[in-house]
Amino acid sequence: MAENDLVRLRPRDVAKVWGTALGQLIDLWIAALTAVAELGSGEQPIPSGQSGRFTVPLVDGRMPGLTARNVVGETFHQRLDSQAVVIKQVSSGPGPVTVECSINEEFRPSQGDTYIQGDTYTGQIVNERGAVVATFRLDAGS
Amino acid sequence: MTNATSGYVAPGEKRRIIEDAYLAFRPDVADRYPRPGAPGPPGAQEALADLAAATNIPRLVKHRRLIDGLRRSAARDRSRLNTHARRVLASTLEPGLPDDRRRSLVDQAKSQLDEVAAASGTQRLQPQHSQMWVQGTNDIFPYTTHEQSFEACNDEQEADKATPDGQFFPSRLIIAQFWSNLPPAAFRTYVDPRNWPQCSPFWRAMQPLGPIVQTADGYDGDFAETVNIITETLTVPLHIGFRVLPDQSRVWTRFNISRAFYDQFPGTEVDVDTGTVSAESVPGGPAPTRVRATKYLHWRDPDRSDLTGLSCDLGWSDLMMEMADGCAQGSPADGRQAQSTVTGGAKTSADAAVSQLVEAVTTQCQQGISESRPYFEQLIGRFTGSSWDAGWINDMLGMGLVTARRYGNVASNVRRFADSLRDTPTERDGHG
Repeated sequence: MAENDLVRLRPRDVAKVWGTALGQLIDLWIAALTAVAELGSGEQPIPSGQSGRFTVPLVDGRMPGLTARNVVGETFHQRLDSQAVVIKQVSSGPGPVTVECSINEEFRPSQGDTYIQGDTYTGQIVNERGAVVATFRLDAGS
Repeated sequence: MTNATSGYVAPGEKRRIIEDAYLAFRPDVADRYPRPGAPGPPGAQEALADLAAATNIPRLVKHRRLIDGLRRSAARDRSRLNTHARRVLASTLEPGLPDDRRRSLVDQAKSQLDEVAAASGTQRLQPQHSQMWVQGTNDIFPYTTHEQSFEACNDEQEADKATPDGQFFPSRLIIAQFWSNLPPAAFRTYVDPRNWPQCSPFWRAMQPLGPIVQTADGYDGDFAETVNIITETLTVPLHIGFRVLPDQSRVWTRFNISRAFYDQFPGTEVDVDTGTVSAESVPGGPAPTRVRATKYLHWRDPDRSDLTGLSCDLGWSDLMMEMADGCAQGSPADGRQAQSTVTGGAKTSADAAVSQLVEAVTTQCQQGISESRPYFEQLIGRFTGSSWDAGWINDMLGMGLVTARRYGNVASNVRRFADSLRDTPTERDGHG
């Protein structure tokens, strides 16, 4: 770059270069931190959908008792009883077992609400000690 | 009507051209829904010629219609469409290429098209064919992230859903999605159902049926949604919730059949119509933002032709493609135009860019502190109990994630600021 070219560089040109470089550095930082967080948190997010899967370690050779809690719709805030969430083991073996959870569409929230309002429901799966083993976002209702 | 000079087609005509490019290869559907006054079903050559001539139909729509049509055709019929297929491909190349370069690129694209058209699988466009096409032609058509990651439609899954009268039926699930480098808030206009009739000619109207109730993060309301599929017009009363998270990391609309108004629309053809349209930050994808539309449908009258089977090919994915392509206010845009439009409108002066940056950064800081508060409270609480609680690491990680995400947003704002500066010199000082 000739000396005159350098003089023609304006602060905004430099800002663009540094802005891009900074952005890329921060993208790397986010990716690294997210990876560490997901590795260490012990709570596995489940992608939104009709059902979600996660793994839990066996306790005394059997699947721990799991229940759902804090089940609430993201949009309309309808709360569902934990009984609405169906939790079932889908794999077996010596190591951790895979568990699938979904919402029973035929569940009746209450006498007044005879149907599940269509929404994305979020909540947590907890073990017998009340520790959160997974979080979920499940599409359900109509 | 097509403008002979510019190739721009009005929304109604655009819709007809896209539908004809489908019906020309589906004579069974064309026979079921004959167009009034038309001598017969559209011919394949004529349909492809119209598709090539229209300049404001998104590139991805043209490619998908072309591949789908050829996959539905026998090999000898495909060879008869060579010239027209080449014209469609040529119409989607960058403008201003030298003639010999253009010919060479069309040859390459046509070669790939022939491979995709003859590839194994069901005789229609499926996600794997779409992937094969995009991967094989990315050097010919420099696709945007939106186009590269576009997936539509999976309409083969079903799930039991309740109708307003309490019965449960297996309902068709259709999903379309793409990934974007734009932030979720950039899609706010398109996620808001009130704008769908402006975004896609598939939608005729979204008519409010009652008051629209503003909430802290959006609005709730009942609407009569009117859509058009070929010759059929369908109206469905929907209850809609539109939401934006305070940190703008998610914008979404949830819609369900409106129980309050369903009985007032006795002719409604579907009794299940529920789903979500959303744009949200999702880590780990090919781009920071996932834009997604899911919909469950059940056709009420078993004695009438079930149009829900066409909504994926002729509506739902169209909306997504228009969104992917920009859906600029009233004038369809290419990917680059879309980017400049959705990230903040027309030209931004340097002063305005500075103000926007300052406002964005201070907002991110304020919201980041608020968002960290619950983690911080939990963290402190863990050290004041009767025993040590190892959960503190989750709180630290939670705060770290909030911080990282916020700085990521700040970095995105810095980038946009830099881009704004790059675009301003000619308006400001005229040199550079």
